[in-house]
Amino acid sequence: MNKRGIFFTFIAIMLVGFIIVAFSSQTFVTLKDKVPITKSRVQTADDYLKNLKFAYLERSLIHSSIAALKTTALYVNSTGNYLNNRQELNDIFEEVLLNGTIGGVESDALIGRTGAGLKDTPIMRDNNLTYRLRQIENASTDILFINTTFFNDYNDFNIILFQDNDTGPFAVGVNATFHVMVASDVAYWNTSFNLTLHFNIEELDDPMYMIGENTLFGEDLTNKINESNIETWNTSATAEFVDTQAYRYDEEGPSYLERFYDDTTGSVCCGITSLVNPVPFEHGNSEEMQSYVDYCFFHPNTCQSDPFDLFYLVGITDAGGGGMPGTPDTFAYGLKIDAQHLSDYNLTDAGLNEQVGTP
Amino acid sequence: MKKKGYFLTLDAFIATVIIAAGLLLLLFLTSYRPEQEQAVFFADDLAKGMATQTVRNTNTPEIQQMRRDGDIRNLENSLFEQIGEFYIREEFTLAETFTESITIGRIPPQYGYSVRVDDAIMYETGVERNSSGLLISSKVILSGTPNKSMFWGPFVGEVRVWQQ
Repeated sequence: MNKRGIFFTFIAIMLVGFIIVAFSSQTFVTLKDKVPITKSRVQTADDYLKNLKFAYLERSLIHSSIAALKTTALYVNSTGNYLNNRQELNDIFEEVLLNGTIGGVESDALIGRTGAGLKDTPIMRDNNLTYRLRQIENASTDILFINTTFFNDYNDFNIILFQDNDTGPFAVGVNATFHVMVASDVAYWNTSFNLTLHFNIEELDDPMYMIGENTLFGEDLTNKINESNIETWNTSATAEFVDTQAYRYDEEGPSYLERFYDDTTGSVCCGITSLVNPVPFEHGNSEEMQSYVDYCFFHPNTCQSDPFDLFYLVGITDAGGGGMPGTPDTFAYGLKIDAQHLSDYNLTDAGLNEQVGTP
Repeated sequence: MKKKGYFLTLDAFIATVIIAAGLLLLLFLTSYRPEQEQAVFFADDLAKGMATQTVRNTNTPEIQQMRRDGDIRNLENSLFEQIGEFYIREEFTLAETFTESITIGRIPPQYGYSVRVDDAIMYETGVERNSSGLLISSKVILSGTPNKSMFWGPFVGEVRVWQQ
């Protein structure tokens, strides 16, 4: 009897010891308290990663791309020469976008944007993509205690600038790849994002108006991309088109990107053209025997081989008898359009225009 | 007989220890402080909700009026980004009205809360009590592009919740 009592007591003590060790150890208590905190931290980091991809990086890429394209146009303007080809455009755009440099030199310095005035404020200094990535790296550490590290090499970004059927003529696409590691104290993500984004090119300078002799028509005057909303073309619509210096889709014209390297072979997906307004360009010279469709105007004899293929427009250039224009103070005095483009503006009716040199 | 008495006394003593340990364990495992967890949820839910819900998908009379007046220019902004945009434009009254309209009723009245951008208070209910011992903060990172030439951020967007 006595031995059984001791045995049961011993068993009871063992059981109590086991229960205490199993359920009330410091490790268990700590883990139990930590689970929601850990979950919360992981969730915070995961939310941050989504925000990084779908908000911050997208915004940064688009904003820096617009600034880089603007800088590239001004760079072309400063050199006075078109770029050689699409590859050179992409290379320069990529360097400006990522580092704010061209050939290792600060792009703002190359285009004279180093001052504090409205017209010479730096464009890329605090807008290049590397700057933006450093900003978010610092912010994530300071605000959320999450370490973010972009570990791209320069070439890893694979920046590609493009226009295609998806972008259409009045938008540009940019593709970029980001390699990033996000680490909180409880978890880390090592991932890559490939972003393909489109942005509108409204209000960006048209490089074709900014090259060499073209700039002579107005020292500080450039033309900014401005999509026309005209759907029905006639004389008054064309006059409005000229007056607003707008652009329209024209598959025979160069796309916005092709305007950087002077490719005038036409773009079915993305060709655009404007009509050069002679008034702001102080170019109301009826002796300029060329079509005022922009790429034709800046490349004489591209759209017509004979001046007799050009037409004055009644109501726009106010053509008088004998094929001569009106007076120099007439709206768009001197403007002519080649026969090839006349139909685009629905002005083929013989009563609406007059062929240059018609006897 | 005497030995049996010792054993029974010891047994009773051990049983008491077992029961006491069991009760303590039970109390320890089931006890919690609901107020703290509630505050965490309120702060997190409000911050994340404002960071993910767009202005387009939010309909309050104040927002409708701001849309009509042209004070809200980008409907794809998240609610928190819109507050940030008001902050950048230094339109603090709009920020306060906007924030009040989207947060009112989402936090029980026994809790106070404030919404901050870049550490500036955009909206606050009650007075933040440093001595309350329970103040929960939830933070998000904000940025925005009001137009092609402007980029703001990254700034901290913060919701603080405390017991009144």
